[in-house]
Amino acid sequence: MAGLTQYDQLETRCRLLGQEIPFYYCRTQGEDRLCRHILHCWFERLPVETFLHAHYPPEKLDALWSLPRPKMLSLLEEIEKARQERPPERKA
Amino acid sequence: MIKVLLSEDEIPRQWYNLAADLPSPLQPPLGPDGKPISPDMLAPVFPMNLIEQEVSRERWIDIPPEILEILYLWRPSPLYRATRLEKALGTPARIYYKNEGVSPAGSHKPNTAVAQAWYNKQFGIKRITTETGAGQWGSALAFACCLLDLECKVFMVRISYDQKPFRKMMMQTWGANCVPSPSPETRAGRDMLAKSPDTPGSLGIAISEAIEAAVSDTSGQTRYSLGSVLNHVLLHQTIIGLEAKKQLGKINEKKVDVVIGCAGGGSNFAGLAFPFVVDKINGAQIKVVAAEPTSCPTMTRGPFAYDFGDVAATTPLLPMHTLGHNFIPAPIHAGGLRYHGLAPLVSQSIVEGLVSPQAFDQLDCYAAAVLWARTEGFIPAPETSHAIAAVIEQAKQAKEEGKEKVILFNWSGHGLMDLLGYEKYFSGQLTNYVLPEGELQENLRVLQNLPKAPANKTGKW
Repeated sequence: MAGLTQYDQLETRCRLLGQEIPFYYCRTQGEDRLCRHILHCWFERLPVETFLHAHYPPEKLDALWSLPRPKMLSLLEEIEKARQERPPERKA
Repeated sequence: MIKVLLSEDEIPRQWYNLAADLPSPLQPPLGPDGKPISPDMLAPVFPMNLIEQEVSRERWIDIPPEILEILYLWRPSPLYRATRLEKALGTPARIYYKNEGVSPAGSHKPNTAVAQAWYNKQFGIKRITTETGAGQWGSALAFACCLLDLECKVFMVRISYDQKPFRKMMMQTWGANCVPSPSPETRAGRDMLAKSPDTPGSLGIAISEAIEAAVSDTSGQTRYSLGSVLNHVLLHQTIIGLEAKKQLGKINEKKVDVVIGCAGGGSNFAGLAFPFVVDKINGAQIKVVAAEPTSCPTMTRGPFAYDFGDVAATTPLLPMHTLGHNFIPAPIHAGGLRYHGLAPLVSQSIVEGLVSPQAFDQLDCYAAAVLWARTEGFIPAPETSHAIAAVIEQAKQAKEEGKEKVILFNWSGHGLMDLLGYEKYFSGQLTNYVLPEGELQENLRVLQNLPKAPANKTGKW
């Protein structure tokens, strides 16, 4: 089996960041966390699904198959998360 | 005639809201509890005047004169005719483009940044937070806040902060406080740094930080700003298409055959296209093309294109293991597919058939961008090059058909901050690694028999 780092140097333009990034970033985001777009962005250039199944446990791949949330919903979730961390005491 | 200008007193005084005319209206998105999201739920991050625009179904919304006063710095933007490109292609088509690269930040983004900053200020907000990747949005908001005397805090993804320093410097020049994300300034950032001190960050973390910074300000004087996807953002961009209509009218160009924009989140595309989409709704024969890259396509193809029966994902979230049944395979062009990273109004326009998504290869896009620069002079942003590739394809088709087609597109921004991409193209580093068809089909095989949900559309287009 080819290694985990075999594609790390390949680059693509990340639509989220607006710059070129290596495959390494897509599969780690710096902390062993797969970008949820990794399949979408690489499926035509690499056997990325085979690669991921070979190197990651199923529970890590589950998130890649989940429904991307509408922006509004993800905003609400972020608001709720921030409130839980530090409940605001709004004047206005 | 090379360019068509409007005077300041000819600038459109209202934005156009496509939500008023969509034949299959958008449903309000549902919250985590399955109930529609109410305006007050968004109040911690947006001022109410922008929330009202977000949910508005009014067709026309007045542009406050104070916003126009700022937009006059570069608006009305010129409409150009790309005569040199036409000649290079030998096409009978007439190619027009709106040059949005003339804004101070170099793209269309300030059209909404200025509006959002102004509405925040009207609401009594003193400070705006946001996230940015390579900095196009962050620099636009920094510019807008500067002119409106608002504090601007930008959480810039660390990998971009380190590798793309010029936009960061632009933000600083306009007085914004741009920090690398994750930062020690928020709980979300500190948690991430504790786990991984050298992390390059991600857009997700930067969003968490920007929202936390807004929500946790107990004075209530901080809000958050977003540069794409949302309805009010698209609304502010429609000034592009509305100006273009006036400019084409000035030169007696009565009918546009093709309207083209590149679509990521959808705001620059919508800005030019929506005022023409409504003409199509009312019977005009216009092809409206949303261009995107074949790498990471979100509208046109891919094993993970989504097509749910309800447009704005109004279905409550489903258990993760069942979600695979909503994915459909679409290895070739398939109009009607959509992706929830795209603006709901653009998504629904695609589902209705009012807009045709089309994907273009990275190398073709760079080749188009270089041809453009060598004929028309301006160096386009990589995203803009997708639209140019679409324009060239349409112009060549017009040549084959011998038709005097009128093509209009949005030149959404310059690429002067993206020259490293050009360098990689010229040095051959951007060679595609396209999978053999057999291997691609094998990757798709597992998905081939999954059911497709019914689409919410009238079937008129």
